[in-house]
Amino acid sequence: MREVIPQRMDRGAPLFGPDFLDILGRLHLVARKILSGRMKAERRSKRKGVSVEFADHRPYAPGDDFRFIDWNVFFRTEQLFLKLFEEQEDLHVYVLVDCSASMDFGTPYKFHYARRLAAAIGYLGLAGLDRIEILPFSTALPKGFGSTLSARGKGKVFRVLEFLDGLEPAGETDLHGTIQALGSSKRKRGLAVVISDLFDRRGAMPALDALRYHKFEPYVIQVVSPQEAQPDLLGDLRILDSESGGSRDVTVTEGMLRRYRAAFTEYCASVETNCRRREIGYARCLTDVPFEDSIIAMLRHGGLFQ
Amino acid sequence: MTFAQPLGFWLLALFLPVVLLYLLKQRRRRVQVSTMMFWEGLLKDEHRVASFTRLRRWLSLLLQLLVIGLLAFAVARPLLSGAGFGARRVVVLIDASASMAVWEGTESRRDRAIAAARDLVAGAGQGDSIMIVAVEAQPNVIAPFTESRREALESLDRVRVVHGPADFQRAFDLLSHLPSDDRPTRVFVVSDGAFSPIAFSPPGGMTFDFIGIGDATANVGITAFALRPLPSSPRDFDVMMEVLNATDAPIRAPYEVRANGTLIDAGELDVPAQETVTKRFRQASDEGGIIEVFVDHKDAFPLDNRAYAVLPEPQRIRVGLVTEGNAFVESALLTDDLVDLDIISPADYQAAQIEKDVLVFDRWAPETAPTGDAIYFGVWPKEWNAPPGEALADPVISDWDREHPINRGIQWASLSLREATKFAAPEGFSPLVRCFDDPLIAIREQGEVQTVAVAFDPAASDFPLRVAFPLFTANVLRYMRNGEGAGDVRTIPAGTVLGAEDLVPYSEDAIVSVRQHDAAPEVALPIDTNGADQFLFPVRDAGVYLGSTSTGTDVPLFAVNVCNSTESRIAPSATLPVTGDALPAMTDGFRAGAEPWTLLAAAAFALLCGEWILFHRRWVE
Repeated sequence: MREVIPQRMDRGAPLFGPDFLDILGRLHLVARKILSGRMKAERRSKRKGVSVEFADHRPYAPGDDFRFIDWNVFFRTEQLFLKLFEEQEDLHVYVLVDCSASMDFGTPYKFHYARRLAAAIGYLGLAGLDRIEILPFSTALPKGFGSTLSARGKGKVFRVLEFLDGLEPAGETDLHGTIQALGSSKRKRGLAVVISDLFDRRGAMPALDALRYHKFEPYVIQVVSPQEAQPDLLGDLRILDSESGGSRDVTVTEGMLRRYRAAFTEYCASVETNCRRREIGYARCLTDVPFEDSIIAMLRHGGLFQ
Repeated sequence: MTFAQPLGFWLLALFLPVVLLYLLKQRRRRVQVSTMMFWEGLLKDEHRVASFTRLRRWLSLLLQLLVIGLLAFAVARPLLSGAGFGARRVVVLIDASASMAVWEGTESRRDRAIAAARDLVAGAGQGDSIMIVAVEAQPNVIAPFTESRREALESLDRVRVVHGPADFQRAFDLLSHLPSDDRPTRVFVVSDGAFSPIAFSPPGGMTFDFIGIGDATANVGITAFALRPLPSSPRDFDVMMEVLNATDAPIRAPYEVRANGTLIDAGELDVPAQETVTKRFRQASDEGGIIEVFVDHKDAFPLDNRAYAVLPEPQRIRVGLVTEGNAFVESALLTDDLVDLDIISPADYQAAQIEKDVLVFDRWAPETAPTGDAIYFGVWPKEWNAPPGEALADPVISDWDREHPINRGIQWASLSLREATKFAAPEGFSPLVRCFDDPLIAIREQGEVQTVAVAFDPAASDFPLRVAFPLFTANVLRYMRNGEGAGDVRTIPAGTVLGAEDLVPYSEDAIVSVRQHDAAPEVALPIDTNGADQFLFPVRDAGVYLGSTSTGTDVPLFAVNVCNSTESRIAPSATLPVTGDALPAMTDGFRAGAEPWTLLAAAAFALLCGEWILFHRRWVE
């Protein structure tokens, strides 16, 4: 039985404690075991290039390199065809971490949970020789030196952790604007892992569609606090929005709570259903579930690092 | 509608804090959420029902105010009245006669009667009017019709036993004269039934119930006690005592007679079961005072084992006999050993001023009458303008005033008169003895001065030879000295209401207070010396009463005795002793009507529960 090391997940707990690297190491081993039948730590590109792996033929066109003419085919068909080989390239993994004020919530602390997920994904990517870029966002994608982190190689894991530890939650969630900014940048296309609560008033799906439009391969991790899924509120309350600062007076009854839970569940289910329809990887993580269990579940269900 | 506790409406003051609490804006708990996007969708739906929610809040306020109102109304104890609500008039007649002092174990019949009356009052319904009447020698309305049960209950403590009989006839007459009312009247008679059957027909609209009190039946008591001083010798007196044996076995009852606390006689009486025995004996006392008899028998009714009498002190009388010599009259006066006799000749009488209590003129009279009491034999003063007239032919005594004390014990009919003079009595004289229309003996009473005129010479009759002659002189002297009845043994019935003027004959000095003999001073009956005519006091308890005079001395006034065979027969009656339709004892209880305040309180509680279920229960589930 795997030993579960309890992690403090309250707001004042250290984000990456001494045991965190051990957890990451264990996760890496588990990930290799899970993914060993499907891939060998390399990622194939859809782009064609120069490599040893044959990919396809295409008719010759003037100006093509003669060295790639498949003469065996010419002798059988008396037509010129070029041999195409798969191009092997580094996988770019973009980890978009929601740093809006809505992540500053819950017990266990939702922002801690999201950053630990990001750290784990980053570690697994670095261990697979992928290029990892951490992109924190709230109202928009940050610009400028030091606002994002790009790293490759397992040795950069401490930089990743340090970078994540320095993030602070603030502002409103603008997922769509963030994706538009990412798509319009000259970054290489790759896997875009979105770690967020997806509490965007304009909806999450247009942003994810935009991600696909810009040739990224999205993977969505929705982080949800138990206090959001099953709020324990009754009576006359003044509800304060953590992002906008707005407030509303409301008398919460059992009936209203039932309707809230139904609306919340319906929202999460609609996001999941739409992701499945668009073949977008989706995972919902409750913060009271250990984050390593959530990572392993994601690896088992596929869509991440394949 | 009236209210027994109108102060309960102060609860309505709770309206103010309740309304204030509703009006004051409740401080809401502040809760931060990660996003408002889910709540806003719900609040759009809630907005549609906000007006209904406000209406619900006001309905909740209305219900709570209604609960307070109902509670205040319940605490104020509304009293419903009128025939429509089944209200009644309730009259409780409580026997306060002497037999109610019988002890039944650890409490008296009076205590039991009060307890039964309390049950009746407690059982009266809202709106019932209750009247409490203690039946004594006359009905004593302790509490007039009242709808306040508390007032009726408090009045019961004022019911006192009077050591005499109860006059239920007058109590029932009182019921007949109650003002008419549209409510039915229910009369409860709480008694041991120890009173003589009375003729009574219940008036229409009245129902009677008899609540019998008492268990004890055996008693021995004095049912009659009397003293009579002998007219010829006031020092001597006859004692008559009647003892009742109201038990089922013959008894031998010891008795004692005491004069001023000194034992002067003792003996035993054999009394058959359920019979009475009369004992007579003669005693003498030089000083008068308190005479007490006591029958030594332990029973439940010790009150009737004693009886008292006040014997007046014999008083000496200074008599002056103005005569030329009359051995008959002189001898008659000398037979009275309380008379100090001086024989005065007419010459001496005219020569000097004579001061005597009574002057007796024998066949000689002065021209002007003396200022004091006087007796004239055969002649009278000339100033009366009534000279002795013609002689009466064959005078006989046809009639006499048998009720007058002077004639007490005298049989005039057999008297033989040889001659008599026609007496034209002046104004103010009234005949004591008559020969048809002519007075033979007449008396005039002018203030405190009495004058007796005898229109015949005793020597011309057989009067001096009869016992009646000294008896006549003694009666006249005592009447002149003491007045009518004052010299008699003084006993009065219990329940008599006396005024200060009733005490005047008992003492020459003013009586300033009255108290029972052997009673502590604090139970003295006060007398208002400044307004004697306003002073009234009831004599309730058996015993001897003393009067304190203005000179600081105590004088025995009168005695009060139970002495009633009906009261001494203490066996309780199973039915109300009335002639005609006998009224049996009440068997069913006296139920109260519905209590509106309980209904109001229940309604308030039900409303409170409903309000909680409608408005609060879901908030805390």
